[in-house]
Formats: sequence, C-alpha cells, structure tokens
Amino acid sequence: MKIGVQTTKDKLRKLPTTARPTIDADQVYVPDGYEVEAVVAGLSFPTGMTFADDGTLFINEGGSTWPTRPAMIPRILRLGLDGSLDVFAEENLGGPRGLAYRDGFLYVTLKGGYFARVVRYDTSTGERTVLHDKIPSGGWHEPGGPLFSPHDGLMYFAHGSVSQNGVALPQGFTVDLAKNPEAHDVPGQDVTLTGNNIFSRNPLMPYPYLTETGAYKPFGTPAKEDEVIKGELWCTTGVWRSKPDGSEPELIAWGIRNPYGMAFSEDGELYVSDNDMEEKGERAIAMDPDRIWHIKNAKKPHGSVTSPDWYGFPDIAATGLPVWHEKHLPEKGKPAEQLIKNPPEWAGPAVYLEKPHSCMTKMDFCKSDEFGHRGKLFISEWGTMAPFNSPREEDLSNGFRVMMVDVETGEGEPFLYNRHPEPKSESTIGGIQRPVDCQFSPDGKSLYVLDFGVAQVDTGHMMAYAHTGVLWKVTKK
Amino acid sequence: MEKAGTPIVIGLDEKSWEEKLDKVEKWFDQLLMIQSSFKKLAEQTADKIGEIHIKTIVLAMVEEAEEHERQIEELYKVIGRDPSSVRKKAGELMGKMGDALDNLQSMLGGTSGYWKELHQLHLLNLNAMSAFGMAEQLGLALGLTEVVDIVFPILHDKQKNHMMLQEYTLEIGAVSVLYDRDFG
Repeated sequence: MKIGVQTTKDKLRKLPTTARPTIDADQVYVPDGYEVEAVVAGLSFPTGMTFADDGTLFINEGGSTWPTRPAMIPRILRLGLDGSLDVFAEENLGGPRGLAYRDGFLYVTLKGGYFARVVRYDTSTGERTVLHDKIPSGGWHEPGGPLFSPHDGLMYFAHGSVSQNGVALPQGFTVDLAKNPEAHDVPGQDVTLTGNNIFSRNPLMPYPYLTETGAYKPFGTPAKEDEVIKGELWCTTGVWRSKPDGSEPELIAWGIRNPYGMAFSEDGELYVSDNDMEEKGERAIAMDPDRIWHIKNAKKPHGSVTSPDWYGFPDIAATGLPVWHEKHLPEKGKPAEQLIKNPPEWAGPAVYLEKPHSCMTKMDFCKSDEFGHRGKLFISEWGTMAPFNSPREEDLSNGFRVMMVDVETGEGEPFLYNRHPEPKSESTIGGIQRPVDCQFSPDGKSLYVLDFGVAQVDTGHMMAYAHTGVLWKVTKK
Repeated sequence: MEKAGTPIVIGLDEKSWEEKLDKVEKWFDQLLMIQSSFKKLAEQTADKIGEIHIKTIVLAMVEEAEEHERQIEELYKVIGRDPSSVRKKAGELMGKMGDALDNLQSMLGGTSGYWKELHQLHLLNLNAMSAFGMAEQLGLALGLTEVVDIVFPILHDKQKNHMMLQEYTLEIGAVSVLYDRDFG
C-alpha cells in the first residue's frame, strides 16, 4: 500500500502538528562540505532502518515504543529508488525495532509481550518466517540488531534487560508491570545471589503495601542469600549469533543493559552501544556513562564460545567500578547494593564512554572514502530523559545529536546537531529532535539519520508524539 | 512516477489531516456525553447525601466537573471545530444517556439510599477518566500538544476522584447492603 504525499520544503515549515510545527534542515549543523535535507516527515515512532543492496530503504515504525502509548501501527515502510513510499509489512503489538537486509530477505527484531522475536521476510513474496521467539523480554529495554558479520556471514542480535537497574520494580508502571507483571531478568551464566532484596510499594495490590523483590525474580518475589540462578542460552542482556535460518544459536556475551545499536567494522569487529543505569527509584545509580562495548567473542569460530563474556550489568558501571561505589551514589533514590555474589570476570573496559543519559542508540561504520571519515563509527544519540531519570542539571541537554567515534582511540566528536541546541526550543526552530538510527547508503555517498520525533520528559512522566518523526539525509557536497 | 529528492509527508497533508480531525471530533462528542452524564449524576447524588463529609466531597466534584466540561470546549477549539454547538450537543446526548443510567440503577437492587448513586458515580467517573485518557492518546497520536496539556491535569483530578469515590463507596457500602440504610 502506497502512503504519503510529496510536499515542499516550505510546507515542511508549516505543519499542523503543534508538537513539531516546523522542519527546517537549515537549523541542523553538519561540518563544512556536507548538506542536510529532510526526506520523509510525519513518521510515527520510527525505530530503525536498513538499506537493500540496490539502495531501497526499509524503515520501521515501532508501534508501541517509548513510552508504550499511544501505540501506532507497527509496520515496515519501503522507500523506493524513485522516491515512492509504501507499506512493506505490518507487525503486531510491540513492534519492529531493528532491520537487516541480506540476499533478498529482510530480517527484523520485534518487541512485544514476554518474548522478543527475530523474523525474516522474503522481500519478493512477503512470506514471513519466525527465526527466534524465545528471547525473554517484556520490560524496559530493547532488542538489538539484527546484522550480519562480514567475517563469518552469521546473523547477530541482542536484547537488553527487563529491569531498569537490575531488579524488577514499579519505576515505570505503564512500561512493564502493568502489562507484563511476571517479566524478569535471566542471567547468561550461573550466578549466586547475595540476597540483597529491595523493598518497594506494590501497585498491583488493592492496598499497595511494601513488597520485597530480588534480582532475576518477578516483581514481588524475594531472592535468598546463596541462591543459585541457572544461566540460560536465552537470557536477558545477551548478544547472540546464529545461521541466517535461525539454526545453531550461540550466546557470546551478556550483562549489556540496552544493546540497541550494533555495528561491524570493516575488519569484522563487533561493537554494541549501551545505555547507563538510572538515578532514580529503589536501586538508583548515579554518573554511569553511556558506552560502546567491543564484543571480542564475535571473532571466535561459530560454536566455540564456551563461556560468554560478561559486561557488568547489573553490578558494574561502565566506569569499571561497582555500582555501590561512592562515585555512583545517587542524589535521588536509594543507593544500590551488590546483587551477584560471584560475578564473572568483567569484559570491559568500554571502547568509548559518553555523558550519562546521552542515550546512544543505533550506529554504523563509515566504509566509504567518498563520504569521508572512513573507519569512524557514527552513532545516534536519542537524547536525555532527565529530569525523569536523573536529578542533575548537567544531564538535561545530553545527546540529541550524531557523534563520530574513533573506536581505536576512544575519542568522539559531534557530527550533526542543532545550531541552537536548547532542548526546549528544538520543536519551534525545526531542527533535529531525537536521532535513533544513522546508516550509510550502499553507494557510500550519504548518511541517513532517522529522527524518532518529539518525546517530552518531565520529572514524573514522559510523552511522545506520533507523526513527528523525520528521515534526514546528509550528503557530501 | 514520483521524483526522487522531493520530501514526502505521511498523514499531514490537508486531506488526511482533516479526516483524522473528523474522527477526533467524534471522540470529543463521546467524551462530552460521558462527562456530562457524570456531572448530572454528581449533582443528583450530592442533593441526596445527608452525611456532611461525603456531601462536601461530591459537591466539590460537581464544581470540578463543570470546569472539565468547559475544558472540552477548549479541546474542540484546538482542532479548529466550532465549540458553540457543544452545549446543544450535550443536551441532545444527555437524553440518550437517561436510559443507560436507569439500566445501571436497576443492576444495583438490594441496596437503598444514596449509596446506589455514589456507586454509579464511581463507575461513571471511571468511564469519564478513560474517555479523557483516550482524548490524551489522540492528542499524542496527532502531535497536538494542546490536547495533552488540557487533558493531563483533568486526568489527575479524575484519578483523585476515583480514589475518593472508591473509598467512600466501599466504606459505607456494608451498612447500605446489610442494614438497608444510609449514613447521615
């Protein structure tokens, strides 16, 4: 089904959506020698995109996203080479998050309900096949990938934690407990618990009295000291790979809180973005940086990873310090205590650390001399959710840009951002809002930036507006 | 064949937008009917209540309900629709609601006094809260901040009223059912 109508740049400056009344590429800064244009406007909660080999672009509209309501139609759009836009497929509640194209098939990660999925579409017939459907989900964080390794041709994918900070708690009631009250984290290796449970009010009860919850348990279920939780192939916070038909799945890493962005460098090294823990609630952690992890096991032969690497969640911050260290003590909320008594060896440090709450999301390596900056990792920063998840003034404006990162040196510099970077004025000046994905076109000439749209955050709640998403295109002049 | 390089807009062209606003207007009509019936029943209930604490609470809800109804007029203005017909619509719609209220009362046989009305008011408040909540979702779905800004504080009021009505209904319900009498 064809959707959308052609418009003009002038009309994009006078839109009926008061949340985003104007879209103006002139307000977006990119370095000298590059130019920006808006390609598609009016997207509803876009979450990811990928190119087919011929340059056809597939874009996810995520359905129920961040926050979970309102849910718009979860679907995959197709932007053809002639500029036409149609609906390639519709998905069910929850919705599509990531996409990868390979050999005539479109691979999609999906959220919604207690289990996330990876499905595959035949792009010529539209036939849909479920490849994986046992990934524990139903909480705060997202599926990552899918993507294919240039090294071994395998499909890589991931999924974040159910809990916000290591224990299922009523911090975001509409997101998790209201719909999936039994959801909980699952470890990727056997762990012994400290039994440091957390007291919180139970909003599921007629009288919301204090209840006790332990790590890797559903809300309201305490853990015992020295209790052993068995590690599972299908854990939360995991990174997996399998053959493209879904066979021979293998867990290669876990302990990654929100591995939404995944990218392979030209030499086949896998990198994963991850978001910091939050400074609120009954297990609050301050000053945990956003980060990019190098997944070293991705270079090992398929089937040879006997013990997945552990990247720290829920007990080690990206600083390498335990989350109960004085550097991570919160100004808001109750300090964290140790959850795992026998933590595995930490697979850090991260190759890149970013300001807390920048909310790094999807990313792509530049593999083109024509665009410039070959070998650099371009990463979207969705932007802060402070003051919702941090009481600190300095966290209020982090993110809202595309960064260019050197994963060898750990240095980064902003590549795309608003000329007037005042968060409150973004919607009125027409620049970028919340970049969620950035991908290079197959010809290597352009960087496409997918802008989720308007999500407004306050101390106690967050609201996102549909029909405010934009696809931007950055081209070298 | 469309030209590459020309921006595409989804759902925000004039025709698509007006079609969506027509549907939003219909929801606001529903909202108005539901909120008006809540206000009318709140007035009737307050008249019957003898117990001074509960009466004061319900009278305050009546005042709030009048303001909430005025705010629905503002919602019509946000989507560019004429609010002058709102009162007329409310009158017409209330006629339709009479039967529904009678049916609801008949479901609560075996009790007596103002408790019946209080119980119905609790249910109608939930209905109105849900209808306002839907209006908020429509504002979010169409990128209309003004709708959300108007509705959010009303939802807060409705949530407080829900808690109060639930508590008072349950608190005095046993006396109504077992002793066939009211407080106050």
